[in-house]
Amino acid sequence: MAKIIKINNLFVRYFGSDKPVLKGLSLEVEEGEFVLLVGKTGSGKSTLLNVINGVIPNIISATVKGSISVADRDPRKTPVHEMATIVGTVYQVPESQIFSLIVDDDVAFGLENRAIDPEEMRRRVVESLSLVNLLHKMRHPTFLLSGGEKQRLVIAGVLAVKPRILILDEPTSMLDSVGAEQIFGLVKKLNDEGLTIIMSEHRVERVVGMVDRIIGLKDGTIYIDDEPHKAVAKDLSKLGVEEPQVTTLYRLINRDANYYPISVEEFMEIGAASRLDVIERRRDTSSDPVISVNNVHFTYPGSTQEVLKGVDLTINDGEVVSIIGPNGSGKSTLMYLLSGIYRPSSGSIRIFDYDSTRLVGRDRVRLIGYVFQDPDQMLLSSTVKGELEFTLQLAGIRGREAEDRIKRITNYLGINDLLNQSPHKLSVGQRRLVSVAAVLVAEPKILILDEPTRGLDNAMSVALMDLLLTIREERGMTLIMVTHNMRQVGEYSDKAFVMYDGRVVYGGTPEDVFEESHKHPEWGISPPQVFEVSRRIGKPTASIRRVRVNAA
Amino acid sequence: MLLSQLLYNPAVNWTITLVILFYGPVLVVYLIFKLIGFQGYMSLFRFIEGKSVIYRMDPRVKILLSIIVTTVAAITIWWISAIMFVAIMSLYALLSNIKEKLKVAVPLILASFIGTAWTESIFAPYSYLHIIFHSVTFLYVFPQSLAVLGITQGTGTFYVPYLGYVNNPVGLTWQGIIYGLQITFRAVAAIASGLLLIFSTPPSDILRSLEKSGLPIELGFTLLLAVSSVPKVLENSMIVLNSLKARGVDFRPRSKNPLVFIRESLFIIKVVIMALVGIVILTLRDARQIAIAADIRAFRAYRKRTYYRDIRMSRMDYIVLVLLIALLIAGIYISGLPGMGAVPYNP
Amino acid sequence: MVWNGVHFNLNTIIPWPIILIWTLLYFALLAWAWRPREGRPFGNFKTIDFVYIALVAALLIVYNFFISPLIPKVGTVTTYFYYPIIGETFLVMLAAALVGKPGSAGLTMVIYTLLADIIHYGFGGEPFWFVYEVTSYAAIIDMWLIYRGKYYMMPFKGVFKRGSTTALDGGSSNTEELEEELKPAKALFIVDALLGGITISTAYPFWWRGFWGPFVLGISFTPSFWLITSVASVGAGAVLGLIVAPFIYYIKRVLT
Repeated sequence: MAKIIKINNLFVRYFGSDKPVLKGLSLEVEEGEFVLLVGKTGSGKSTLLNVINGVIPNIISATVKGSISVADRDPRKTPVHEMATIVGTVYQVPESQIFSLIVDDDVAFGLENRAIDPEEMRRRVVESLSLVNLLHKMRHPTFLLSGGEKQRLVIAGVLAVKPRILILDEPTSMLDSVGAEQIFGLVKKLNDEGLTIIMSEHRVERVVGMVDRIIGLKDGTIYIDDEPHKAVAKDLSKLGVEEPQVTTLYRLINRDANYYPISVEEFMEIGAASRLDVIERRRDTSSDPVISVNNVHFTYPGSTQEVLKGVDLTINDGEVVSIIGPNGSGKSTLMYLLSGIYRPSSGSIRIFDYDSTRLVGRDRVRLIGYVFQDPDQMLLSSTVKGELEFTLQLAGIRGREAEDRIKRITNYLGINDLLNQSPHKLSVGQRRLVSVAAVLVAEPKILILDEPTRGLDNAMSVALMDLLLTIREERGMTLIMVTHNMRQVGEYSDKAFVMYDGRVVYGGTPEDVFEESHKHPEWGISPPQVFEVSRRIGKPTASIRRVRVNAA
Repeated sequence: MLLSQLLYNPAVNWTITLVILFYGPVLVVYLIFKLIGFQGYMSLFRFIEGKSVIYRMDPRVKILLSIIVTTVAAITIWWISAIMFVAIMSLYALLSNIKEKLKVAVPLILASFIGTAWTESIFAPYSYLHIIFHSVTFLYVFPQSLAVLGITQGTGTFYVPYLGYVNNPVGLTWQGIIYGLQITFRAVAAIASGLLLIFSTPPSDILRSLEKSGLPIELGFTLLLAVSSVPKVLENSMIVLNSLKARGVDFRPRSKNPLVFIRESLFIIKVVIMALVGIVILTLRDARQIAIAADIRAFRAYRKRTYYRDIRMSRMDYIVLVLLIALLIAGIYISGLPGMGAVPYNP
Repeated sequence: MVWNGVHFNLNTIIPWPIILIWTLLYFALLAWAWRPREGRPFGNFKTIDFVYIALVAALLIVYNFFISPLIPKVGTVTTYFYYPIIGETFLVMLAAALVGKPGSAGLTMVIYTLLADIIHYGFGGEPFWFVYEVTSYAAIIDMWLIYRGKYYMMPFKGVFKRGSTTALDGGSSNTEELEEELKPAKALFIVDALLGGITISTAYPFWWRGFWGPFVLGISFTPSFWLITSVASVGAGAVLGLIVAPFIYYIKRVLT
């Protein structure tokens, strides 16, 4: 097979920084390969991808040293739009890559710019859209598409110029699980048809089964470069990357293998499952309900479409609860109602024996905190300290008490040295911590988190979740999280509720929910590997922390 | 006699006056925010495919329609504008999903109707009315002191129904209403024809047709991006305001104590500025990524461009074009007939 | 004679030759700033500049059609101090600050006017509203940008110094030849703010009442009213410009 990408001794340094991001990286990729690129945020994944497509240094200025050849061209010396006919690139946020209001117009955008003959153009638009399975939505407004559909549209626009390589930079990090599944399926199909794929992705467990090769970056150099079963042997978690749970399980059994299973089937074939044992879930002594939602209906003001169609829900004191389900099922809306941003159109919500609609101002702030999906949606002050003081002012806490609380929470979250910095200038992870601190500083009894680990890499996610769980333990808080990450649901929650089409359609322990999800593909829930494995040995558990190994 | 005592009882007089003074702006705000709202405005950008004639017309002809209607409305008497307005509204019947469209168009048109008619009819300067109409009839008079606000004030003695002769009356005049209607229908006909264009043409086709007529792609791109960003900016605004509400911000000062009221108001101003800065950052943060994505897709790479859709004048377009020119000529002719020309804005 | 809602009334407070000269002068500036380079119009504008302008135009639409109507307006006060203009001041100056090239304020106004016409006002009175919007809201800012460039709305100015040619081997495509050094310039920052604020605040009372309103719509204003409101708006603009300045600087620092 021909090598389509050849990179030798690559150094990249951004202007205004004295440290290089990539340090002497060498890499060859064969035509038709499917490469998974993993590594922590800041390990240089995006930089590497942007060097291959020429965005660095043609658009983003940086000093690039070393030799690069992509399909026998040097991306540094080729205009970016010409490079795009060889290397197609898909970035994280689909909305930032769509320019038209109608689906087929958007696919045509790149073709019109390249002055492709109209007949040929119309053929290619149809071809690309059918490739991503969006042909039926050809004349649909782009902003009414779901996240997964939007990202598929972006891919169609990129494919329309017939590139030989497709680069995807964390293409699913802004999508729900249904959307992510669509993208993975599509990318696999494209690879089968001969397209070379390089994808960076946090959901390793989900994609590891379909790739040919894993490249792990650490501090700007290649740390792992191997086929999946051998690559996982080197312990991806050391790179701050998610590892397939079956690999982790097998490592418990056999520490020194150099070939590890990556899928549930492989794990079962090895026959190691019989050595696993599962500790029973601690049955919590029933506590009092802190939130009870009764037959709540809700329609947004000015709209006619009912978003919540009779929601019933009870959450008990001190529980960790996950709300799951596809986007548009009403999860965020329900959280808005719980946090008092809107009132139910009918039905009632009781919070700690208060009628929710009567609970306003500082009383509410001290009871319920809400951490929004994107930290930038909440961070509005010019310093971190200002942000925390703003919350305290609204909660009616002043003087010494306020100072103490700021000190306490920032020490706890390890952000005390950031107090005088601008929250907008911080890294993704730091911003996330500040947004959590800005809510926790009021010491609410109930904390709602909307996709708390969105945009974070695995190491940061785990650290944040552990931190939140510790705080909950110490304060006796109730945690409610909206999430698409099923491993998190299994690891951390006592209960999970599935929302679908404006209703809570199922509730129970994560194990119950995962079991039930087998019957409801429309929920878009794919249970974590540990559940599938433990289920087959008749002791289902959703959390890898409850799995033990019997002595041989 | 009874009626005059009732109508011009000071309390009743003030009440009626204040209602007339304020119903306009209040109603406009109500129409725009309660009836249309964020959702409604967003549907302006939600083009829905249709099959009728109006969808098949060349966008340029529809732009011309809007320009000619505006021109004719500007030069003829108000009821001709009103007829054109009704004619355009009847073209709305050719739109698909008409209910949703009227839900946006009607409040928008009404808001502009009431807004303009209201200001123009009670604030029309007496001197204009006198020159235009020669005689001015007062229908209802307001307390004299309101002359300072700039409400129409007659010079001389006038007969006012149910009140008798009044010196230098301040109030609502029949001619003021006509004057208001003239200006209103001019605006309303223009808005209705503009909305018709948006409802029946995909935005990208409007742009393609303009680009074909020489609009640089840079402008077209910027405009398209601006249009498609409006829904996102609205969404960002909603989310930022929601996040403030979730943190316990109350956007209305509630205290009865004036000092506290002022403090609360200042705090709200501070919060609003914070929110604006937040919305701006949230919106502009994606700019770099958008620019990269556009460059990758060869934006501005070549001067020559081709078009995904054929935009060509069909026979029907030519027919409409001829009709439009006829309308223009008729309009110019009618405007020259006695009593048919526009009431001048400014004599 | 009336065409497309334009009355062509030349009986205005500001004599038409002044407007003509001012307009020609500014259009000459635009022609220079947007002169084609390598066959592309808009000179040294980059893709990101168009993106900034598009997003700011979208923000302007949302501000003027959704937020501004919600701000309570006290009739007599707004005549002399039209405080809701603060949003427009903020956003137009922000676009100029982020793009930092002559012609950026003008382009922002063109896009905004086009959008506003499409979704709300209709095309009556065009193309004169375009000329009004760009010559009154943007011209002075764009002229000032010739001098200030990318340092507009920053308390700095750039001074060229002979750069140490950084030796870069191995086929790197970017070399820094002239290095620019930042020199603190607080006074210039204040001038930036005043100029921006006053330009935008005086646009309506001075230019619209003085010429464009009467010219297009045929209405008239008394010269004394025009003069008083124009003078008042200079003060108002100064205040508003100074209020928004730190926020613009903050956003510029965060985004670049």
